[in-house]
Amino acid sequence: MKFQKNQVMPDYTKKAITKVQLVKYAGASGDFNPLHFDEEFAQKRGLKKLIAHGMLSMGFLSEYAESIFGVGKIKKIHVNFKSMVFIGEEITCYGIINSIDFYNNREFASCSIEAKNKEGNIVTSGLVEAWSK
Amino acid sequence: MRNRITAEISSLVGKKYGPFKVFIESGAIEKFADAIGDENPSHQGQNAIAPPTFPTTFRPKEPFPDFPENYGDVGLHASQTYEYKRPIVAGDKIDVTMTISNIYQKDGKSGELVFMERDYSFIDSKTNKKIGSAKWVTLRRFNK
Repeated sequence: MKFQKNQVMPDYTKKAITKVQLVKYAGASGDFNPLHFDEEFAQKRGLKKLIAHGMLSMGFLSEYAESIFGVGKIKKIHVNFKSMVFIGEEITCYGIINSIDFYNNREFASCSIEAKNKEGNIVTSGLVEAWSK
Repeated sequence: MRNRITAEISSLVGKKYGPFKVFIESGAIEKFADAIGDENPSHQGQNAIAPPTFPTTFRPKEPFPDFPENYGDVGLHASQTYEYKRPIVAGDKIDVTMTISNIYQKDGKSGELVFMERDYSFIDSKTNKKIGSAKWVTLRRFNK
């Protein structure tokens, strides 16, 4: 695939986040903060629902970038965690290629990427550099 | 705004943890990709390529340098960066080092925010070459 400046990356919506997914992610990542799987604990801290690991939303964005550029092609990914992601939410990833650059004569694409929920609130946003050749 | 960065807090800058060794197993990569819901077959099998966020699984067993437990009212993950010379793959042995590189305060609407930046380096144990690096930025908020 040929990549170019100002190219809009096709968006991608993940399946709704389930409790099983949060438990799996806790186990696989080693982040056992009970806010992600213990409703009572979350409620005591003023949350109406379980929240997803921030890193899960970054995982969605990484998967998204790899679905476009290929697995193992990520040179750099940076994200800011903007707001909480709740269980049951469907997260959509989208992005745009800002420029095509070169490092050691190898071409890479610099992109802005974002993840939003169904209400359109941006939950995680950042930048990715991916080898395009 | 109160200055929340006491001598005790600023003395954390420069504190290092590691290196500690991590063995990259294909099963761990598969489980991690599955938890994300990433079904790409490149993350499966003996020659599995790790997703870019896989180093979040590199957790030291002992306590590592951090803010004191009761410091601030809320702890949050602010931002995260990974940078790679090459992808991490099953069979890799990696030396992981973490250094607290910066601590700074910002005045937010909801209170004072104290940020901690941690820099990670991932070195291939077999070749001693750098595989990649990470920056992990957390914050503690002091509510108004």
